[in-house]
Amino acid sequence: MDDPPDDRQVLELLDGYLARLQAGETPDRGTFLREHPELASAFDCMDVLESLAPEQLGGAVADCESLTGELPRTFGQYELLSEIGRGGMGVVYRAQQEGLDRIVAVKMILAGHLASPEHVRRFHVEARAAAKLRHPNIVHIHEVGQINGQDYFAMEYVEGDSLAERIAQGPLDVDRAVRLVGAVARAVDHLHSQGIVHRDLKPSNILLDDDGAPYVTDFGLAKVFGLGSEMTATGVIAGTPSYMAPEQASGHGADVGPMADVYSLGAILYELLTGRPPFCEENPLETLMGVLGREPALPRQLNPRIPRQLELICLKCLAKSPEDRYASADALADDLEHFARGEALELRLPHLTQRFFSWTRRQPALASRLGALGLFYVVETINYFAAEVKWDFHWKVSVLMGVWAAASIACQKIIDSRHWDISTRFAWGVLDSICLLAVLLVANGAASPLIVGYPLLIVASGLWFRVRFVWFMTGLSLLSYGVLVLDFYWRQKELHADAFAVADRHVIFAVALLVLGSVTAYLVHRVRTLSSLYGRQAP
Amino acid sequence: MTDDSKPDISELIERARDGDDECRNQLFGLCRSYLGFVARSQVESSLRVKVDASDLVQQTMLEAHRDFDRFKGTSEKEWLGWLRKILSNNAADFVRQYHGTAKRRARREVPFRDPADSAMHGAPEPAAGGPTPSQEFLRLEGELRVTAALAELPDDYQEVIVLRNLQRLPFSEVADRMDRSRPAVQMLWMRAIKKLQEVMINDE
Repeated sequence: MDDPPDDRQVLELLDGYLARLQAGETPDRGTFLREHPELASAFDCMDVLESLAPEQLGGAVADCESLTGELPRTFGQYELLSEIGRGGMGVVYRAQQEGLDRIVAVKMILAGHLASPEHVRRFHVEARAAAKLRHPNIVHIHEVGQINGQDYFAMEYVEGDSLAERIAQGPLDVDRAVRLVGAVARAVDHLHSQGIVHRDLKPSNILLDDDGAPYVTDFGLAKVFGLGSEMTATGVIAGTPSYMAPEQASGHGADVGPMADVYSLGAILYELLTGRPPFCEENPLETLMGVLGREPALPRQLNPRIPRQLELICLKCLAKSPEDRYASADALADDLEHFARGEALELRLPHLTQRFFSWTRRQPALASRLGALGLFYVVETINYFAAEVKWDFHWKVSVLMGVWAAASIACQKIIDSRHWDISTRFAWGVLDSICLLAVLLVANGAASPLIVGYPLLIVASGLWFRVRFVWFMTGLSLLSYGVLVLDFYWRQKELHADAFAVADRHVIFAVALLVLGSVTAYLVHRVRTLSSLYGRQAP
Repeated sequence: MTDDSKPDISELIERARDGDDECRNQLFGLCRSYLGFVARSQVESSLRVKVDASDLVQQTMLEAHRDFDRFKGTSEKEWLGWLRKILSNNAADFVRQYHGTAKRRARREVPFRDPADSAMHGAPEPAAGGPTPSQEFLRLEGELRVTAALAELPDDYQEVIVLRNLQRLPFSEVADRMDRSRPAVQMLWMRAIKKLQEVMINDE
């Protein structure tokens, strides 16, 4: 493509201008027009286009936003002092309540979120129910209302950070985390006793005052706003379902009860203890798959200082099935208190089969490899005792299998440590194909039925949802198979006098591998497209 | 800027209100591309599946026709603001509907096609009925002028402007959506803006 320097410069000017516009500034035309005065009307166009783009926030709030420069201003009986935050649902202001001389937080609901009168009605019903609650660890709602068509509620103002901001500063010690989650669990139980399910418990919805005491906020409203407060103004789910219970994440709205909050409490405890939520993948679909079907990494693997009992408490909250969790948030708080006092817990280690199955869900890649290797080895050993194969072959295969299994375990360990996550997966792929090649060379080479290992490797590579990785494994498999074919024709020529009669089978097999790789890559591509439909992850 | 003797939107509104059906059709027809682009700017990727921007436009046009008597404003700005409000409400409804029925419909309706596929390009606009308005005899301003000019651009020019300017996506993401390299998309965007500028000047 021709790319004269002039074009570059024009592009830079246009791009620079747009970047300023989109940052909410009014760019200084003069500096942009100095070299290229003819761009003036292009800038006009871009100004107009920018005005067509949706407001970052819904209409009514955007009106307030345009006034934020002129704060303080009055809103009903409140004088808005400063903006303290904005989330999916709306903008929160610190405000002074007239006459009462108290500081409150006023939350304005985004216009787009209460589109119909029915929505507005439900919002008021829910918020009024929430306003009746009184608990030392729950943010009290003073008032719910509507002024000039703007729905809002006024609540207790908590001076301090949210738990999310606290986590970002660094890990909490175990005692502190236990006390914190215990207090939050008691507050959540109070919500439940009043028939309110929070549905959107996460660190950013837990405020901490200067003494570090937690306050639960934004409860019960998630129901009114659909999937949770992660919805952006245009309705896209922007966040990750990291703290969402499986029954909630799968969209079975009707089943979401108090147990979903118990799960979220467990997820918060997990993050406080380990520094990350139980499932937090780079794309939201993978996170969702994790929430729905996988076991989280054991907390003690991520932080060995976590006591065994506490790990059990945490994992019990995170059970996939609501029945396997604590029966109530209170029961969780009780256990946390028992733990803090060093008392014995009723919790028992799950029995062996349960632990085995939860391991296969936690480390499926390792479990499936070991399973396949084990099965093959059993068959091979039976063959050996049935005198079908020779000792020479048997010991070589035994050693190879042992090396393969040990290296796989090592790879899994490195991946769990999360240091060389991505490169280790590629290295593991290389390792698999080398081991398979070695086994095949020891066995009957390209003539062995074990060449089905190649299609298996390719298909399995798709489970990591990376197109590039699928192609990588396809390439490796083809390469490795090429080596086998060479070996077949040159080194073992004397064994296969009629080798040339079967040349076509190698071509067919190689083409089949290629096609299989393409199909798998395409499937992965489709899944990733779906994943981007599911939502873009917040940066 | 343009000849003052030409009628403008507020005149059309006035005449339409007095019962001149031709003016009313013209008024609505003129705003079709405006609404189309506003819809495309609001309908985010997750919804593109379910809500084609043109559905949103059609629904909005229908409601605006129905409730035309309730519109009390006179200026182009008020008129566009009114249309835009109806559109936003519909967009929110669509969003809710989509999330409410996503479980049931996803299997059937999630198309496995590239997001930059035809659905967004030349989606046939629903017929409004009545003659197409003749823009050249009308004095348009700001938003209507730009959207009318934008509608004249080739599809890929429109697409790149919608993604970069209206949806405010960074170039890297525009490149992903359009399945082209980042430098190619940047050049495309620059040409699109220049072309838009050219069309605007020629229309004047």
